[in-house]
Amino acid sequence: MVLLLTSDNEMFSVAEDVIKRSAYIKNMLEDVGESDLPIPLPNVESNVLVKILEYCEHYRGEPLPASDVDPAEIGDRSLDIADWDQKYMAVDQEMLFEIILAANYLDIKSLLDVGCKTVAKMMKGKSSEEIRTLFNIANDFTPEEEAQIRKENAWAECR
Amino acid sequence: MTRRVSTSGVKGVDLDAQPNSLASRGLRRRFRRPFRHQRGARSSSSTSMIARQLAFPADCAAKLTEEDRAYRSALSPVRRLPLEVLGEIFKLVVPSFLNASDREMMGNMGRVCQRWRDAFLNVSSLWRGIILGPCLCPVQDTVGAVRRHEEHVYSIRWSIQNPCSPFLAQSPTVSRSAQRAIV
Repeated sequence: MVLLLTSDNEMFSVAEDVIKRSAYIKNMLEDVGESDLPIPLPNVESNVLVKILEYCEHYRGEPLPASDVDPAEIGDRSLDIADWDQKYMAVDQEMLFEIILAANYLDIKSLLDVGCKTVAKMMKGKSSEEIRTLFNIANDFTPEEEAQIRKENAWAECR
Repeated sequence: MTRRVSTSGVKGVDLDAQPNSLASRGLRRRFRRPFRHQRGARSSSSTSMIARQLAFPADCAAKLTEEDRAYRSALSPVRRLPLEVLGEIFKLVVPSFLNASDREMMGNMGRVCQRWRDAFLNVSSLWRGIILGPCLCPVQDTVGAVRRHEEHVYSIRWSIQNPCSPFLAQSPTVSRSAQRAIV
């Protein structure tokens, strides 16, 4: 069993084959070897870790993806998401981005990929104003900058 | 036409019926009704005062809405995504530069905010193999855009019919590396 200590000081005891989906933890276990000391996760809160472990538990036993293969490099840019993953990602925006951040930190490529696809699907086909509203983003361009960007983008938007 | 003046109530009072009575003078003061010969000047100043008073809560509401938007934006979880993760998302949203709707989407993402624009310009694969076909865009805009993105552009395929190409290839505003990239 592996002990994990979250940022809010909660201790989790997790089976090694479950948490090895995280390349970060896997490498740490390989480097450090067996230890009774907990692995601190200062960037992950307990409620997020619970969600991450739910994902790892679901895919327990599935082969781990090769660590050096980037899905984008092999041309997997489709936005298809498996049914279970879609249900798993049906959370509020706060948690969705927390999952993505944790997956990035823990280096769980498949989960990061699902998170990015979920956000990409939310953005697809939306205007810049609709994206701002969707994610609560302030428009920090000056009117002059906006006009300049619009001019510059015209060449790319030619049909 | 005369109505009975009542000092206790307001309804049914005809102020013009007894212009000099105490009651009517009091009511005049109370409702600040101007005398006929001063009506124009006073009414315009009181109208502007009321307009100012009415505008004040509207201004406050607009300021609060703006502050609320700024706080929400500052706390927005999407702000915490590292640029490289944002870049990965952009790559998924725009799988191919060849598709016109994807190019439009690229423009939309680059216009969201400064941070997104930085992330968007740093995703080199989005700028790989750009094809500039015949277009009606002003030459200087196209040259400026390529110059701005040249660090990220691996290669540009340039249509022979494009009226901009001779200008771009010889333009002093485009670096030699970018000129070499034009094939």
